[in-house]
Amino acid sequence: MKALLVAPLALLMVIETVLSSQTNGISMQGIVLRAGSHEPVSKAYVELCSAGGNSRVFAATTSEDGRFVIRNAPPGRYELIVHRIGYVTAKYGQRRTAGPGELITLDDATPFEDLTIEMTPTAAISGRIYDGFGEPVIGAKVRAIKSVYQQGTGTLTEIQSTVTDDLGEYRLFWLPPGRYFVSATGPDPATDMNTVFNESRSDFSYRSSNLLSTNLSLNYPDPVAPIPQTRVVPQQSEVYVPVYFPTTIDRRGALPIDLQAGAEFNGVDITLQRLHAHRIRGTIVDAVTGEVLREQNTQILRSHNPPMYIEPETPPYSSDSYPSFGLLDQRTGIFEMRDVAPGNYYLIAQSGERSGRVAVEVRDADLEDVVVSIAKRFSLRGHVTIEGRSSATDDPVLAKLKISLRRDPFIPAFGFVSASPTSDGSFTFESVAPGDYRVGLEPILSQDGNTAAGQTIPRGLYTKSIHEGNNDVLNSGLHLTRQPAESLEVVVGMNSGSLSGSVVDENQRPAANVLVLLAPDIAHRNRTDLFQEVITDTSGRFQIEFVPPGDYKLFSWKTIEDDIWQDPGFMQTYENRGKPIRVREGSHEDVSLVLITTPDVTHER
Amino acid sequence: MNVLWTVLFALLAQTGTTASIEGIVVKLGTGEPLARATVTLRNDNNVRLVLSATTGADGRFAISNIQTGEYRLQASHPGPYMLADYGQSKPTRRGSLIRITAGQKVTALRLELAPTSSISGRILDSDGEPLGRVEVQALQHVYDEGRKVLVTMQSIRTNDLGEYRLRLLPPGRYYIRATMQNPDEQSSQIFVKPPQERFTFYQPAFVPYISHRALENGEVEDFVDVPVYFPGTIDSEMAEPLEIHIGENRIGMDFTIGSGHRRAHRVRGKIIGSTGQPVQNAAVEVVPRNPDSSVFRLKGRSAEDGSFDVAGVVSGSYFVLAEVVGEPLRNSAVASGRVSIEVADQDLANIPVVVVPNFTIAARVVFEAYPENYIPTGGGVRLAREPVIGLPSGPTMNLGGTPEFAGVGPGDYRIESAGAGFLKSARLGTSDILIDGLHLDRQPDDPIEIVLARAASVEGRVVDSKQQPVPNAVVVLVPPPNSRRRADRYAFTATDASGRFRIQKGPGDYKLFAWEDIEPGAWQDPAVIRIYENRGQPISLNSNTQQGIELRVIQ
Repeated sequence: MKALLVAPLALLMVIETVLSSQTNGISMQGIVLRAGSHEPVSKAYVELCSAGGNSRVFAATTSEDGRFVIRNAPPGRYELIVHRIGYVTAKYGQRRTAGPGELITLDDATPFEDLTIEMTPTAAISGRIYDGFGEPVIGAKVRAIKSVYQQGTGTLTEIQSTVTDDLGEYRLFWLPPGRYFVSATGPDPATDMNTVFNESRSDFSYRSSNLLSTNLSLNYPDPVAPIPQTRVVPQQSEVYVPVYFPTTIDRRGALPIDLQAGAEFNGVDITLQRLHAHRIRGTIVDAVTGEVLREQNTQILRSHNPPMYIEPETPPYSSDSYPSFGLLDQRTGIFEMRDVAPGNYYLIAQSGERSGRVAVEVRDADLEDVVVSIAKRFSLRGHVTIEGRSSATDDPVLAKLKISLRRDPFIPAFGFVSASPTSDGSFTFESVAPGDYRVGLEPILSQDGNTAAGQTIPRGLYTKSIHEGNNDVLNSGLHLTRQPAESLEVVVGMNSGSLSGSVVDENQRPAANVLVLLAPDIAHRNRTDLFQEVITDTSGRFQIEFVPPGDYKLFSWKTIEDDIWQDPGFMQTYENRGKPIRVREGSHEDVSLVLITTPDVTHER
Repeated sequence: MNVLWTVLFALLAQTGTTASIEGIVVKLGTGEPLARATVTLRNDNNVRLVLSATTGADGRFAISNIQTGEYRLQASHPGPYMLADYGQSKPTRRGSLIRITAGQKVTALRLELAPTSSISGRILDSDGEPLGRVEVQALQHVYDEGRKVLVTMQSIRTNDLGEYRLRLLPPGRYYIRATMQNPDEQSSQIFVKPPQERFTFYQPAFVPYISHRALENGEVEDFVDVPVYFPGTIDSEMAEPLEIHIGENRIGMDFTIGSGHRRAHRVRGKIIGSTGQPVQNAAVEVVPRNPDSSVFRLKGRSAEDGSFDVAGVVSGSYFVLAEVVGEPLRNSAVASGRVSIEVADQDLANIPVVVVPNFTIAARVVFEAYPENYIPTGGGVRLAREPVIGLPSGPTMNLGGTPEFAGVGPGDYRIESAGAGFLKSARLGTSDILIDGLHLDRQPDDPIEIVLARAASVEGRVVDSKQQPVPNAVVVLVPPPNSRRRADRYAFTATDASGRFRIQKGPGDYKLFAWEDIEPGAWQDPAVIRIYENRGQPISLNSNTQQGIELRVIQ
């Protein structure tokens, strides 16, 4: 074994986690500073990761004066990432916190000597949880939640959770700056022995790409179900329900906490609430035969509608704090769920290949005689044509395409399913449940999952039309109630347009590092695949390649919450500030934009 | 404080076939009535028969419609209080059953809830900077095999200010241990049991976080972060205990864990078969020869040429264990091997580990004092690998099957009963393996001779100096001195409300002791039993039940 790194300064520790036989490489020096100040950050761990296939990593730790040196890195393209406890992980070339970085090209000619990397400090939220008697609650679960927008759906997503100590106190920490909600619920008797909680690191931001990997997608259909009949029976117990800071069980009344970098937000106290719990009873019925199911393999469970939170790494159906299975009495065929807090739920039933769900609302009484119909799923066939290419088989472009299907409205926890066309362009989605869907080219989200919808692989391709018979599936969605009679016809266009432009502020100065949003015209706002966002460079310029032909509006903001433009309410506020633009096949447009100044983007939820 | 419970029975009237109780729940020490305490009355013979009540603002409760029977009466509280168990002599002890008869009306019951304690402070690095997300544990000594070992009672994490608060603790003597975690870890676990019961959790061996540092001469050094005990030592013997009283909140227990950052070494070598051929894909593990409570589990796997490389080993004495599954060698599905190594201040290279096919040891089992033609229906005898890391494991002979131990590799073992009754003797050739253990380099020529005896029992009662029965006394059956190293030779129980006990064990000579209060397992500690040796009552157990023993309690 040859070890090659030499520590150039006594104070400096240089660490190489992958050893190589290369001995004379290039050196790199730099400094790590606290964002917004010139305070050096010591003990930051600087990683230089090769961008190629080989995962070679060189690393150093900053000294007291924030400086670091990495020596003997072989020429190549690298990503430079800096980690430090108490700071959001920074990448070289980032234009905003948690945004994408830039690659560094190391060659013999240009040693890097004065790299500056700024790190954003994290923030903390603390407080106390009380019960209805004003006593502190031990072991209450407290969550820091953010609204994450995907495919036009805003979902509350847990960023971090913790439990209160014996004084009822909690502290959520190492949170990246941003807008948070805090919720608390009572101790969970099932977890008090072994409490697992997600205390995220500062660089952990919940990305929609995580959700892309969710595979279980279309298992929960919406067959037509009779309206449940209700009758009143005596109530039995009380259950804790999540309370949002400051005092509401309705998430729309939650008060957001705008956490600034390095801030301490203390005194976020919450008083827990218990509600009378109810019972849900009913039967699971085969939609075709009307038979009541009693088999042992029949499952019934409920989940919040919409899902209460998305918790990282939990199965989709347990996306709230109390996912609950019901008990099915095999003798009578009646299922029962106890201790259900008032609220909206989906009851989801499954038995072998049949499944179904029904939306119910529990108010102030038990629900009786709920019927959940279940049915076998469909098989959805289609065919892709690439415009302007012969219908010859084995088209290499075709081989790279994937068609994806998602629920409409999008349910993040359920994700996407996708199908690859065969060499003649035909594809099939097996086992599709009845319901409303959107169809498109994969990925509907961009690769980093964080930003624009609309980028497709291979780049430049776009969905030109999708029809099922006479139905415009691309713009109106797919509404499945029975096995479709006709095949889905997907036409892929190759001749997209492109855009470039510049953004200036109100004083006509170039606006660097600001967000530019390309949004479809109002008539196509439900086409989430048509949105794209980019960040301007240092001279205020931007470029958007591969724009499907159509009518758009361009917007530019300096600081808005990630992905909040997916919220129609937000867009409404700024609708008339957008600059209309028409993109034609193969066209290129250059546009001048004026930054939309947003002294306050707070809006009512 | 010996008596926490003041219980006044008052038989007021016969009111039919059911009984009722009433009383008050107060805070121990202050006597302040506690509202919202849950009082439960559980029938000892019918787990489903549970009655409960909640105390009002005045701390009072009442339970009626109680059927005749023996009950356990307990009180708990959502706040920071321990469980109160009727009849307990200390808040950490189990209580006793109460007998309630038809028509009885019990009043003025008083249950005292002991507040829990806490220990808090900060964990710092060697520069005095607070460390976040460090695992901090509260440990206590318990007796295991006559040895005091530290077990984890609670495990939490520091916050971003380096602060920790071990909470909801029963009173006792605690050690605090802090371990730096891998900074790449995304989520963490905490283990906090409400104070309603004493509990420990099984702590899997640590998987160490290994970091590297390159020196100016080009060498690369490895480091691991080992646990550091309060007030800042990596040696558990040097750890300073904290004596925590009922309801005490100990603050300012700050300490630095820089000393846990230890130089680590690599152990490299080759796994070879008995004819010298390289053995690939063997599971290699480097385990301490004397595992303590902070064991590192260091694992590797042999490459195609049989070589292995295990990182993260701090100086000490170890075994390198190798095991390979899947017919690597002729005539065996599993082969294993073991060598002893000493790691000082450098890496070890060229360590050869020879794996030999696992073998079978025949056994001959004699059932003593069982009926003639006795056929066992279950249970087995286990050869448990030593050192035991985590839960004991090893080849087990099922009494219902072929009398042999299959899949035994070279190594050290001890023999123990796994639900097979009382292991009276076990010999291999001239060696008494019950006492000496089993040390194998190869397949032994002789079978293991095992005698399993049927348990006998002894019954009696425990009294104090005034000949009054002692409820909740700890009664222990202690084997003769040459068998005292073996935990399975002891038996213990607690007396019921009328001071009675019944204890079961294999035939043989014993001494019987009764303590009013003793730490569980302390009787296996030679230093403890020496103090009480002459207070024990010699007893010889045979196949008949002995009755009417009267024991004087040791106070």
